[in-house]
Amino acid sequence: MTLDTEVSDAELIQRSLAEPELFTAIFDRYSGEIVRYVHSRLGGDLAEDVTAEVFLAAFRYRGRFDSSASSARPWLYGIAVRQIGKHRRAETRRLRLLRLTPADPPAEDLSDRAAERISAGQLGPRLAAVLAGLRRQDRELLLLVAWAGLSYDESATALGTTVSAVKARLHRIRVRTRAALGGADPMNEGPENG
Amino acid sequence: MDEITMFSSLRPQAPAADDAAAIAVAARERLTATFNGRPSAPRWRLPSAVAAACATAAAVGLVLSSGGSPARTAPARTVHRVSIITADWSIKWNPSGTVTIKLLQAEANLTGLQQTLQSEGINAISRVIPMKAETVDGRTHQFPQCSYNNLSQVSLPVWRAIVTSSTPGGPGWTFVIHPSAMPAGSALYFQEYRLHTVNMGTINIAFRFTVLTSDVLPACTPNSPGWQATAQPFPLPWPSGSALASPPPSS
Repeated sequence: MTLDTEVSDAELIQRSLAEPELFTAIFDRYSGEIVRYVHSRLGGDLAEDVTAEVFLAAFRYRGRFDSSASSARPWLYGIAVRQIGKHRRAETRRLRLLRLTPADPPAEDLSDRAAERISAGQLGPRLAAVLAGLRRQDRELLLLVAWAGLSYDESATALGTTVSAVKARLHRIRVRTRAALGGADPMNEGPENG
Repeated sequence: MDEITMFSSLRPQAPAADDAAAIAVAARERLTATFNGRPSAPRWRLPSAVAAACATAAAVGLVLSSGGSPARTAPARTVHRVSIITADWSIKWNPSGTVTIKLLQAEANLTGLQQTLQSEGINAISRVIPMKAETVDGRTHQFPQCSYNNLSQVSLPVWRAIVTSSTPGGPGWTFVIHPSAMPAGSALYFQEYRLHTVNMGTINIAFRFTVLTSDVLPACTPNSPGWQATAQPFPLPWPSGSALASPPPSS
């Protein structure tokens, strides 16, 4: 019998306590998105080291993984957040770059979605300024939701907080963003989420 | 659009596939080194081509056994009977001789899937069709650059013998094929194009899977702004959708 993607993360991690090699399956499941996230946060120079550190830390502390959790994803992102936090200088440089990066050119994508991207792109420097000005824990939450696509539940798990705290913090970020962009919803679309 | 979603526009471009593979290979090596009690190796980086080859080798070699015995990489691929798991898709040989193919990501690496299937002795071809946008009378139309019409599909009985199951499930779509039922020269065909939607951050993937009588595709038929998604046989949004595969017509 072979293990495949139907074996739960919890089972793999539990069994990896006795059979360490099984932990490579966790790596293979999640390394792609962790690499992309770390790369987007810190850039290519640090992506390899930090990705390795994320999984080494996860392996080292796998005994602490909550075996009732359905997925190791939020747990790994939580570790990634801590590892990224060790490279504040690189992150600061990255944030500064974001403020200087021009909007995406709309050359090949003129759909409605692209129109949104263009608008968001035009607001880029101001959004980047908001991002850079957030408290660290708020910035981590925002990027887990906006860049990594974590749900509120997953973000709460990753950051070791509650869903209601996540919602409250995101609300504060929305208010702050709206104020920074002129006090109104610049996209003029749809109600707030969450 | 929600203020939180707006921040996704700031996300820097993802690393190139080769670069991401190189990073993953190096990180994986450092992780596995600890299993043997070796310290985590210092940072090193492979040239992209070597890294990509290593990534493929790592993926192909991944076999995990259960039932109490330790997991190990395949000692030798004497027969093509391994489970292959990548971030984008998985291929599992079943005891019955069928193969379960599961797409794990919306934007799966179909070229890698094609190459791996071919290396496993299963003829396959894939196409990721680029999108195009043109403005007509002030309205912007977005459409796939071309269509592959009049595909030479296998007959319905042959299809049923080859594709024993096709179901959405788990994080992606899953289908089971019987390679030994594939006539000589036939090929699995995977096609996708990425239709951006008005919902920021989402991209609909129109995906098509069928079985062709040969691996020679007809010429690409260029599309025009009047192209309609409904004109395509199976433009399905990812990851929902009630059907995956495109069986030939019963007539």
